[in-house]
Amino acid sequence: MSADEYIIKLFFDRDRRAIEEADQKYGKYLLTVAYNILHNEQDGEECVNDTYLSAWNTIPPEKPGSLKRYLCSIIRNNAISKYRSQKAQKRAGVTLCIDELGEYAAPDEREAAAIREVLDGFLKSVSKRDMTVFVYRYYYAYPVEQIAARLGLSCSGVYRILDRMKEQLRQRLNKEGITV
Amino acid sequence: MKKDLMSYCGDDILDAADKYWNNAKKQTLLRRLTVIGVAALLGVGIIAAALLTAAKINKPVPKPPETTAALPLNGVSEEVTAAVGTSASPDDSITAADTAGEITEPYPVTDEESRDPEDTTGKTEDSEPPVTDTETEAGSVTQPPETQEYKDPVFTAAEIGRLFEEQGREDVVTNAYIKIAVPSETELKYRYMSIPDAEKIGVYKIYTTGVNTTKAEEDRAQKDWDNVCKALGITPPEFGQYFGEKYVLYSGAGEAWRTFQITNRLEGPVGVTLDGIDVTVDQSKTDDELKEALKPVRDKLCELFGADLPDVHIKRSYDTESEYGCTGIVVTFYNAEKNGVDINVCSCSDHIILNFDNVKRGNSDVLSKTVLKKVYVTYVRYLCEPEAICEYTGDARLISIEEAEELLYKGYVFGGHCCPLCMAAQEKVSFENYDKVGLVYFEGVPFYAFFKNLHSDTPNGNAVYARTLVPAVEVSGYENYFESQKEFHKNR
Repeated sequence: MSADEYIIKLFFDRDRRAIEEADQKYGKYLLTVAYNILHNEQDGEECVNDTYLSAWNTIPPEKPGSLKRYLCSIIRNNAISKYRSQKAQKRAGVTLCIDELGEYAAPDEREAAAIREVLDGFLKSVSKRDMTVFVYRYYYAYPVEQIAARLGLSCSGVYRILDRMKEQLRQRLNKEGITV
Repeated sequence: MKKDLMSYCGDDILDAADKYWNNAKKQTLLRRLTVIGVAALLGVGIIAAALLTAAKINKPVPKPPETTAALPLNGVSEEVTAAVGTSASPDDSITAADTAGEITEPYPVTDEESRDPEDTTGKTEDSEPPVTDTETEAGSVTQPPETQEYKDPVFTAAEIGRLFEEQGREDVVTNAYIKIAVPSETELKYRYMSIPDAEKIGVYKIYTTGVNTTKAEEDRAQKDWDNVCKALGITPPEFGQYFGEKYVLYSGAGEAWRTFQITNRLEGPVGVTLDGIDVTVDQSKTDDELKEALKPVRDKLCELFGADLPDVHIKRSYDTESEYGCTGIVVTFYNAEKNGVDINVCSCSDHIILNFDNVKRGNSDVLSKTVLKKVYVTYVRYLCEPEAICEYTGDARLISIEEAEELLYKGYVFGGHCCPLCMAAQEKVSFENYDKVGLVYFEGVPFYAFFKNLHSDTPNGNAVYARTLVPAVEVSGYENYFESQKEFHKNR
């Protein structure tokens, strides 16, 4: 049994150690995801706690294939919601880079799968480096400076990659009749 | 319910991105450890050999010459500028604890805590290409002899190829040539140096050596922090990193330097103003006019950081689409005397970079025809001598342009993937009747840069040139290397 399977089993057993174990393994990772979006340690920690609560309430019946991705998806949604709420109250100081890509409401699972296919197909068609730049900017909301430094690019180089990819993605989505 | 687009992204994509991200860090660490290890071994070897020689001839060990003859400073090469930009990498210092398994964290974590539990990859995908025995033997000449003069050949083709493959940089990763947009051929001046009228040329090694930040340095950094905050008109926040309404500030330590960055917030063309002095440039001015206009900015920054940087270097970038042609201007304040080596070869002493941007990123961005306000200010203070960053390793024979042309026409060119298969995948460019040739330094090694005009019918009227590189010193094993690349890439 892998560590993740063990943690999921604890959730299923309604054993509170599930949260402790999940926190030990993914706590810092989740905090980073939240912090990149909110830029506030306290808000980030609140999001982490909310994430564990959501996981506790949804597992079972959910049985995630990847616990890491499952928790990440929850905290990302929580952090973005919190950010939007703060923005509405004029508390958020920064425009969220994630918003640059736009939003989309998939009416059903079939439509969601269709957009996933286009998005994944596009990201698979570019180099791994460009894909990583895109994901770390628009999924993890990393600062451009940090992406540039990690991948050995200049900041303007990162922006050029992002601009080019955004345009290519927009064209591909348009071709498929998807408007964001 | 509306969701942001990336929330539809598949897990396999996210996993692949995480893997690449982790490998990027591992590669960086591995490279640094290798460089430090090799430098240490070479150092021990050289000292031992020198002591032995000195003992034999019973006289003191000679000091190496200072540097080779200075090359004309008539513009900076793309590679050198990129090196200037990346040498001050904030990531190196932000993430001293950044050995994170999945993604970087704003808080220090230990190696063990942060390791990606699912990441069991030991070897990166971009592992080095195979090197033949012949090439390895020839490679032994790279160790500089005592006379500081190379015997030909200086490098093997595999060693030259590795210079590019290890960079992972945008302009070199997948291309044997890159495309450059400029308003006119004259503006190519930012992309090369003049070819010296000499038989020999200096060869260097670029290092990032490990230097620990001292308490005095930390105190000085704190003082810089307070000074800059005051000049920006903000109450000094907690030292280190600050996300304000208008600016992002960052101060940190790298392996051999300290950096201080002032960044505009990403939305809108917000300028940086220091004690009432606007950090802007008017792109319609000439380089000389810019230098003059930027004097107050330089003086203010030098005052804030307690630096002495009398010299100015300017590089402009262009593209084919932006309405105003110029996508940015990079201004570097430095001290040529302290730098020792020409800044076109390496920027290895304290400097300040003003990176003025003119690229549209969001709906609120406003591009400018003249005055550029969107600027990233980076101050880099080295904690070691320039020689520890850029070491002169000897003079080598500068091959003639005719010899370089012969290599060019054979396709023995560099600039990223040197695999003939990858190169064939690019749009074919014939460099017959090329338009311009100049010299550039890349990782301390001189190259001839050949430019060929491709076309000028771009949306903004800028001309597009292809640029490819041929080593300017003698190199062995071209044929074997380019053939081995075919096999290497077939098997990837």
